[in-house]
Amino acid sequence: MTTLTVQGMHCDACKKLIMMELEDAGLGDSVVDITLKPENIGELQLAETVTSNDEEKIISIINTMETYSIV
Amino acid sequence: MQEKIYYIAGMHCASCELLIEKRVLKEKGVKAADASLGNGTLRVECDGRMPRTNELNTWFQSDGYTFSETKQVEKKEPWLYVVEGKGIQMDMHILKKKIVILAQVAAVFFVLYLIERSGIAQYVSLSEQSSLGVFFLFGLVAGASSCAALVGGILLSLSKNWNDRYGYDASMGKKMVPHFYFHGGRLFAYTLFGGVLGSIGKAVGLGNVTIFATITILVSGVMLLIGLQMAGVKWAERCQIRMPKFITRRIAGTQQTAGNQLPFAIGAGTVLLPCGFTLIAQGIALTSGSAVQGAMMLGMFVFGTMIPLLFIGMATVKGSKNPKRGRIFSFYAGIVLVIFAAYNINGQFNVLGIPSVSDVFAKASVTDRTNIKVVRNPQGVQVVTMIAKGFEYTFTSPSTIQAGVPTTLLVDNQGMQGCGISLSARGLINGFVQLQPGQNTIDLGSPKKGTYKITCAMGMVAPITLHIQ
Repeated sequence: MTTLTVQGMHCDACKKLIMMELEDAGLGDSVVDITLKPENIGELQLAETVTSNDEEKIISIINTMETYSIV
Repeated sequence: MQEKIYYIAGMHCASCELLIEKRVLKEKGVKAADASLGNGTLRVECDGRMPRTNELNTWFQSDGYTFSETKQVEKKEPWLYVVEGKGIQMDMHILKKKIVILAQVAAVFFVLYLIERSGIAQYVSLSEQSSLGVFFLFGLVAGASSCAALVGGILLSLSKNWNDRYGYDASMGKKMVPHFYFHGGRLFAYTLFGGVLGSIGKAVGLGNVTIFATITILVSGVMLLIGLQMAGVKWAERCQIRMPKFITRRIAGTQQTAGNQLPFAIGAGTVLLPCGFTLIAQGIALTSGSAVQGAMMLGMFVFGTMIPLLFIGMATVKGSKNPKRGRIFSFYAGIVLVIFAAYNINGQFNVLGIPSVSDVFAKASVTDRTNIKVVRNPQGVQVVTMIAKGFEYTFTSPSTIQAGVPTTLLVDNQGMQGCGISLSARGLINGFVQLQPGQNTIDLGSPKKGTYKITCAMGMVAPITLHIQ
């Protein structure tokens, strides 16, 4: 299972914002869990069925969001 | 197109604003949604049916936001109340809390007043021979006096927005980041400007009294509005001065380099708002004849101002530890800001030579009450004499003279303090004159008929008026 590390996540609203963007892109089911860590880091656990293409799309969507970026 | 404003409780950061906006924008007919953490509002523009408040509450129930159509007024804790059978009662605990806060606010002004009047500035006088350490000390004094009123006021008005963006639970270190960028911007701009002054050796940007005074009045006007908003004045809260969201969001950026360009730029912009102390330091940098020396002089001066101004920043951050404390601090900080702004505006009215509150307290010139005549030297030049001492200017010759006659102003500097060394007399003198110790001779040309105020560069020295008939 792939885990993506996201910089800039500091609260539940951040989790929901990211999920909202992914759902709008039809990729909501690709994320199994989002965990908040210290120092504004969030971890996105991707489903095992996620293809590399979808993974790239997810990374691209998050990187274009204003205050988040994939580490 | 309809527009409606909802009041929101429960937001704590920029992400909350974005979350609410994105969700509401999905509704049919909604053209624009603008959530504001600072104001606690959501403004919606809609072509079709406006979302109902209960719908909003349902959508966001799990997120902890509550919406209403009226502002939720916080239940006030009265310190004075009536109990049936017992009459008027006083809650001493609440009264004590309010007195402590008022005393702290009064202490701020008292300390500033003491520093301004203490004469400490005369022990930190600048000249071309001063070491960089003296420039630092000069900056320290400036930061605790006239700079506190102007730049400190700007910091107070910006801090609320910065604190709101990070949320109450953010650490002090995080909330101080925009302050460090602000001061970094100041250091950068002033050091650069010092280098420019030193290298070209001309009075670039120091000359125009009207421009500086107008900029300061405009900035103080914005400060006044923000102060009234922070103090909770209703009509002021409706007048929102907003930057485009794509700029304000950058203030709350959590990435290392992005997100703080605006505080840096505003800090750099304060180079357009020199206080009297700053003008003195700039004047010395000007005469240094060296870009490096000029840059280091102003750099050390601004570094000195940073210390007291950082304390102001830390006080605002501490004051926003939790929502309740933040509201109380915001109220009293708003009062401080209103007083600073009014003080600055009054000062600049003096610099511009227009009527001000200072005129109400102005003493009539002693020389006008005596039979002293206007002195003319053997060349027929009208001589006006005055003393600059402490934090006061005093005429020692009549303050009413003849128009169209060549006139000289002799200023005897007997120990003028602080920014009073930078003399201003719009209409009579171009720009500002840095008084040297002892006699200073200023050629006024053949002045036109009118009433002219003589004050310091910031208008803080009580103005004296020269009448030319």
